[in-house]
Amino acid sequence: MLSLTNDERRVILFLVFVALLGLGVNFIVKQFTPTKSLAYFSDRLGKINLNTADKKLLMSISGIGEKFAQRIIELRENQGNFSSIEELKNIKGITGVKFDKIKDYLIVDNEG
Amino acid sequence: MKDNLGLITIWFCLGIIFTHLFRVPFWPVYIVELALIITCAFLIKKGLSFNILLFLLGFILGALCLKNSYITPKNDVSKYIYYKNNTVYLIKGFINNQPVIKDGRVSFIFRAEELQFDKDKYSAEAHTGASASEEAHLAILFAKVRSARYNSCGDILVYAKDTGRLAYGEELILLGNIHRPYRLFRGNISAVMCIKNNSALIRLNKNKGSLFRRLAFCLKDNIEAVFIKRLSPLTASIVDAMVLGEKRRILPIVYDSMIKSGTVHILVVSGFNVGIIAFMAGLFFKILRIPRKLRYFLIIFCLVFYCFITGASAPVVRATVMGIFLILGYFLKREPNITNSLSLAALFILVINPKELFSISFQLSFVSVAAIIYLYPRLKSLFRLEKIKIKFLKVIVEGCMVSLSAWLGTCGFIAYYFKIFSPVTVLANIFIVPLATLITLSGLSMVIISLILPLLSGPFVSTNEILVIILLGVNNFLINLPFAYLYL
Repeated sequence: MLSLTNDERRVILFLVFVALLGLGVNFIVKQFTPTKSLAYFSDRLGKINLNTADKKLLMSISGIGEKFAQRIIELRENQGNFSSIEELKNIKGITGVKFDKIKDYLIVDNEG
Repeated sequence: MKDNLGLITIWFCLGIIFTHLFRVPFWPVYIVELALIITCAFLIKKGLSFNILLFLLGFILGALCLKNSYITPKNDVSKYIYYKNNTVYLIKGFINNQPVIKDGRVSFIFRAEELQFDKDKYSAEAHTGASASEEAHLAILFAKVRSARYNSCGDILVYAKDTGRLAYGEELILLGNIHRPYRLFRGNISAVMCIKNNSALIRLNKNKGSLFRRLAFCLKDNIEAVFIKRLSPLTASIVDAMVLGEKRRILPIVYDSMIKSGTVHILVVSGFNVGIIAFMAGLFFKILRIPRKLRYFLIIFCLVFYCFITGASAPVVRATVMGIFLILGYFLKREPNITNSLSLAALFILVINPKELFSISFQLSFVSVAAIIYLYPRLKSLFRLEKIKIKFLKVIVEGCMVSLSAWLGTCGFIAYYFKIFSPVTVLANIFIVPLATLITLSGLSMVIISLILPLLSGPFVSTNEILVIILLGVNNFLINLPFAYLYL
């Protein structure tokens, strides 16, 4: 069993009390942390320009494989720059689900 | 306080295990704990009743600590992520550890501060297949939050490809999917993000994070550069692991042979390295004729700095806390108690992160030291080592006993986690540990000499190369002995 002096007991009790207080405060802070709405980031941030991206960059997007990236580039070379992302739907092999998956990674910018 | 903390720590750990196994409500248990403290205050002069209540206090405190660690703030990054979703997130924050490069990709822990995503898409995907309680939670979340960019907190694990050099504290905006692997257990990290190109990672050219940690990582990079520049790749990988705990360059064949001989612990930074650092720092400050009391504080500073350099893993934190208490014991002219130091180190780690109790590194680190403390004196008296008169033989047999104690303590854990049983460990440690000590000392000396007088580092380089060859040769010989190890 334990062999503690009265002073040591007081110190341990004090430390347990401080730890308990800290736990309670931490728990309350977690429970009541406000969720704040902030100003919107730019829609273009971090996205890949469909009109300038090379094959490797297009393939880095999850859902775009080698063949599909090649078809995007061929379409761009044949028909000129894209005017909207929706034009990707004209490429052979794209489904609605796949389009939804990749569209958030892409932008169309004729100046860039 | 003779060995008292050990028992309290055991009860604290039992409380953590209890909460891990059973559902515990926070506030009712909290009130019970508070009532117990008040009762204890009245029973301070009673012997047995106070002790029993103190154990119960430790038990409940452990339970509450783990329960509290399960609770995440309302704006935690994990609250915005649903299992298997295709939502694209823009997340702003900073790198919260030193990025690790392995197999051509960088991985790092990212501290989220702001988060933006397509709310409608998230909402639609999350609701598909969500349970009633999850749906209710999401409904509350989206009712409260109208905009699609929020303040956030919490850490995520990021894997990035083709992104160039990254450093601790760098502020970034990342674009990509975040997912929550079902059983990701890495401290408080609950989500993973994969970045596959440079345009999905926007550098804000600002630096956050603590200056102290930045300095520690900068020094680590410089030390690693010395190893890579001066040593052969094989030796550099082993010395890097022994001195800095960086295992990513170790050849799998070397690592595998160390596992077989049960000496893989020398490839991670542990109490052994911390002891060497304390010794070297003490010697260095003594040569500089720094007063004794100031020297102790400088050694403590060196230990904390080394702890940060090596990534503050459980064995290093344990050894650092134990080292600090040992040094403080000398400073206050109190007799150091190894059991209390070990218990205090365990409490220190577990109060910060109670989930560490279930990590292999924590268990092995503490069990091995506890086994040495508990079993070694008993084995020593059992085999009557005091009767051995030849000093050299006595040192070897004592080394054997320390190694046997650690092995007895950890063999069950190693068999359970790694499915391997290595009787050769007892013998291997006697030869490998002294060699590892020499390599660590020689490696550290080489770093210091290379930074001050690079021309004189030649002999240290050769010493390191020879010692590593001997180490690998001895290890190879031992694992080829009959019944050296067996897979379970």
